[in-house]
Amino acid sequence: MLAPTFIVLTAVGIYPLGYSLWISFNDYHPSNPSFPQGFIWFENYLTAFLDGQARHALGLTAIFTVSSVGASLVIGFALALLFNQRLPGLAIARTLILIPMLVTPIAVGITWRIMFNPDLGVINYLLGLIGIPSQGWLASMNQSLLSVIVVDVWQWTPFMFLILFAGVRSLPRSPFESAAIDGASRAKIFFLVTLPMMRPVILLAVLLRAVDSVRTFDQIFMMTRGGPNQTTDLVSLYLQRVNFKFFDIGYGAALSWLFLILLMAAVIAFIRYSGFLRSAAEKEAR
Amino acid sequence: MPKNLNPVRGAHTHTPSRRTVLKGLGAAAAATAVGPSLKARAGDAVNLNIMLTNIPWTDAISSTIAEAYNAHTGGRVTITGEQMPYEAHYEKIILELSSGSSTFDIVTSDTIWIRQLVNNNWVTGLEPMKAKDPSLPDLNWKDFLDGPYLFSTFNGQRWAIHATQSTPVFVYRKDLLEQAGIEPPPLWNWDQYLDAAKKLTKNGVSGTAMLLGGQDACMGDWMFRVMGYDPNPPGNDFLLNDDNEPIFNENDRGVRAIERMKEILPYCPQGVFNFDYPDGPPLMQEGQAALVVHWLDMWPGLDDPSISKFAGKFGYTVSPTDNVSQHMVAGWGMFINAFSEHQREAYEFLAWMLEGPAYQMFREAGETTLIYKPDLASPEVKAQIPLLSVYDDINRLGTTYTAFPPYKVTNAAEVQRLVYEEVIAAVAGDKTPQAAMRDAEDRVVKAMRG
Amino acid sequence: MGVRIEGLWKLFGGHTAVRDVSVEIEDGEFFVLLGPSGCGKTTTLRMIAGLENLSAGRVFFDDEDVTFFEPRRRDIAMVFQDYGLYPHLSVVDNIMFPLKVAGVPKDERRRRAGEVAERLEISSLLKRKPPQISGGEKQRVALARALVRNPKVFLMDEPLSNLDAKLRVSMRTEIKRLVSDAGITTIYVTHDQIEAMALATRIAVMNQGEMVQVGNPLEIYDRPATRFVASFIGSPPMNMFDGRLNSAEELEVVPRFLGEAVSRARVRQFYEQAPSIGGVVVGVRPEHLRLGASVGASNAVVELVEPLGQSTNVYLRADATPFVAVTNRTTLQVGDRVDVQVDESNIHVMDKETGRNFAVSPDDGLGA
Repeated sequence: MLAPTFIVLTAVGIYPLGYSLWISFNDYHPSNPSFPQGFIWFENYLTAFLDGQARHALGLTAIFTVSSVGASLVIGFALALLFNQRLPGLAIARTLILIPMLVTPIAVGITWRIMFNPDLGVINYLLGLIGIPSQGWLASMNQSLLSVIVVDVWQWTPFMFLILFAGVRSLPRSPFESAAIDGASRAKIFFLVTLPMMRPVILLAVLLRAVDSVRTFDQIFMMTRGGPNQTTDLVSLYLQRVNFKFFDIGYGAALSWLFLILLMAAVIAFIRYSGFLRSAAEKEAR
Repeated sequence: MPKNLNPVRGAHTHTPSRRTVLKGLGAAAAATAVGPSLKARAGDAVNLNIMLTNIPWTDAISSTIAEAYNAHTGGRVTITGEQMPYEAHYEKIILELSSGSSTFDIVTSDTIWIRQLVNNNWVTGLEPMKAKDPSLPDLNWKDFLDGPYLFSTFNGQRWAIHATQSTPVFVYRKDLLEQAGIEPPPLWNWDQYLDAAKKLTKNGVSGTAMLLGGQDACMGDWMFRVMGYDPNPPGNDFLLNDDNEPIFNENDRGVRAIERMKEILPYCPQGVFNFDYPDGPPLMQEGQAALVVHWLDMWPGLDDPSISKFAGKFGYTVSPTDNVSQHMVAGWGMFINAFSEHQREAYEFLAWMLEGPAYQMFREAGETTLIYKPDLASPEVKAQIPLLSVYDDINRLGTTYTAFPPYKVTNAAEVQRLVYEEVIAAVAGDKTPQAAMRDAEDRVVKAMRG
Repeated sequence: MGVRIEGLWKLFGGHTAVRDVSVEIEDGEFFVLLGPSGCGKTTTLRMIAGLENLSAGRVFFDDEDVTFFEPRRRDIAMVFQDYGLYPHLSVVDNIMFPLKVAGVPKDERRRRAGEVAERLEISSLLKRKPPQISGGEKQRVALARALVRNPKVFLMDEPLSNLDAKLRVSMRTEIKRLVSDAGITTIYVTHDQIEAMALATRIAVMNQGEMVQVGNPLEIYDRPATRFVASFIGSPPMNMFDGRLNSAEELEVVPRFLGEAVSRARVRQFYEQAPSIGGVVVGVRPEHLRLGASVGASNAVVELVEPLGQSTNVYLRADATPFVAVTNRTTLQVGDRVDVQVDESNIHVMDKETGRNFAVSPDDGLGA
């Protein structure tokens, strides 16, 4: 009875993975006359360790992910707390702020590229109205990474909000009232009660967002193609270039595998050192 | 050199003619009824599928030309096309042809990818086909500009028929030059250009602009400057010599070109580092920039009052230069897929196109990068497309054609990318131009070895 | 510290949860707010705590007006029905929490938490977290957290209702001991009249947002001001019968022996209080009915006997009307005919319309 399941799993999951692993040990340049070039052992992997561009991309990806996840966590949490108040009109607003999450990343990229246009875009226009000189945004070496982070935060804060809001909503009320009576100020209630009680939800949201964020490609490709001067050249964009500009498919596969291993290690480390499973179990028991 | 002028449409937006639909239904019915005889029936109704990109002439192929050719063959041959955006076109070529796919009978290619097609034996040469089979029609080359064939004629034969020829055009705002009291070109040197850009930067208008955000577009900006320093011997592509050694910085011309780019940066719009081909036309249509030098196929809309605020106020001439006036050319060619099952029909279609009317349909579809001589000589056409006056200047000034893009190597797209990364790093100020050129040379040598 | 509330109102939308409640609670008192669910007792408590905004009224701690003080500025402690423990903190951290936010040094925090834990016999639990301990243990932790800081006022919102019956009784005793040891003014909310009777120095009975009667437990029991209080307090509940005050001389009620037990002078006394009123409710507590062996005028028949060990509930019927009596151990059997006697002082006659008890004087024990 297991045979069909096994066959399907093998076909859709294991075979492609295995094939890409095999390719990563080959010099695989379908665009060259010498194709197929053949098995080269670990050469692609050795190349990857010496590849400054890959390190550059990895560093940018780390900055991008940490900033984007961090900012969307803070904003999403603030919104979740705000929307937890019973204020008029919030129900509609709550639906509206989910919209960015529903937009195709390609469309997000195109829209923001137009809005960020330093000369014709609406952002500089609005800043100009309040007397702020126009900025280069995506076209500026100093601001491009910030700009693509802003867009990622814009698009994915609703997701963060959604998870955190559900978490805030499911918190019991009495510990907060206890704390208020026990003499804690609002700030202390937040840091000593809200935050720790939200910990399992926050960790989950951060994990999901981070894994998603390191793979960001579409919006950035539409906005900057990794530029200017590679200041937004994240791993995903570099991989795209290796695979589809240089058609160095073997090296691309090796890089992808290394990145996958790195990502898995990061996720495992996160789960272990954040006490993610422990706090999730505690929430379960509550 | 393509400029993404048209919105990209998917393969499914092509409207099939009624005849195609009926024929398709007929074939399907036949297939159901008498499976084994399908091949024999298919033999007398052939469909040629063409890989296209998103510029006007390719629109014509899948519409007016398809209809005309269908009528010409009495319904024996139908034409269908699939349009790719420029960025995806190269990937599509590699993925299709490296796997030996016969999906496309005819493949269109930009200059830079031509050697890849030929050296991989992915395409069939036209002249050898004719030599092998004298019953094939003759190919009429004489009515077309020779420029684009610089790239597709090698190993003693022509590999493609070319559809277009693009060349750098210096676009300037006549009204602004006049207001500033600047004598208009032709044939400025880059100092004059810089000086004018400086003077014209005012009232929210930038003196000039470049497109530094796209690989191909930015390489254009750099190459337009490189080509003005040394005369180019025939058979040379400026980037690599016959032994595929890098020569782009001979006599420091690569460095000088970068310095020329850097010196006009202050007179460019703020978004210059993010601009790619699609950003070019609006810059001029909206009056954001006064002077720009870029490929001819980018500007057809400038004199169309419905999209251009300054229609009629643009002048067109040859690119500025510091030393020699050379004009590099590039353009799209059409190749027969070596894996196609209808190579003969594909050849016949291309031969029919060279008879001329098809090229007039390109023009009717809005194409400006014309190579059909009767069109180029026609005063009506010239009046209709003011851009073409650039050819008058080329002829009058004795400007010579030259090949430039790294067209001679198989991995041209990769080589272009490497050089682009170094050029942009230098223009951005991350490296000195000298260091960037050294690094570019190193990387190109490595890429050629690999 | 004394607590005084004046004219407290709470409106939720169109619904009035608390209606003009005023009461003065003495320093050191164990004051119980008693009433059925939805009567406004918890809302009143939460307004005293500052957890709920009041719609109108004032709250004073001694003479200080704390109406608009945030909860944390009121120096109170509160035990919640679900204990309100911090699930992410260990027991000891829970207990120390009020000290921590008050800035008490760490050593002192530990010492005081240790002392309180000792007193509540939870020293062995200190390292555990709330999800890992039982309901009774949570209750002790909540009490410890409330006691550790020596608050001025101690508020408890149904603290025992989530415990099983046996634990409830023992915790009840313990709470009484702890609180009287500490001598802290305590306001305690419950719907359980036995709990209220056992704990309170004074009880305020609430119904439909209003404070119906305030008094010490025996006053409330003996002299219920209204029909509601009379029926709410006591187990089994007071027997109630419809009756009429036909004239200054006659109280007509079924079973008849009740009316006969009331002297003319006393009937007149009732009648004078409300001459215009005909309909009354006559009430008598089951334990005030004495069952005699002989067949007397009452002519009651035993229908059911519930021996509870310490006492016995005897269900009777007289004049076709059922009622219950509580006696000591008895040999009565179903079908036995018995004589039922009652002192007239134990018969309550209440206004059928307003519920007012004519058997107690109007100013008796009512807060207003």
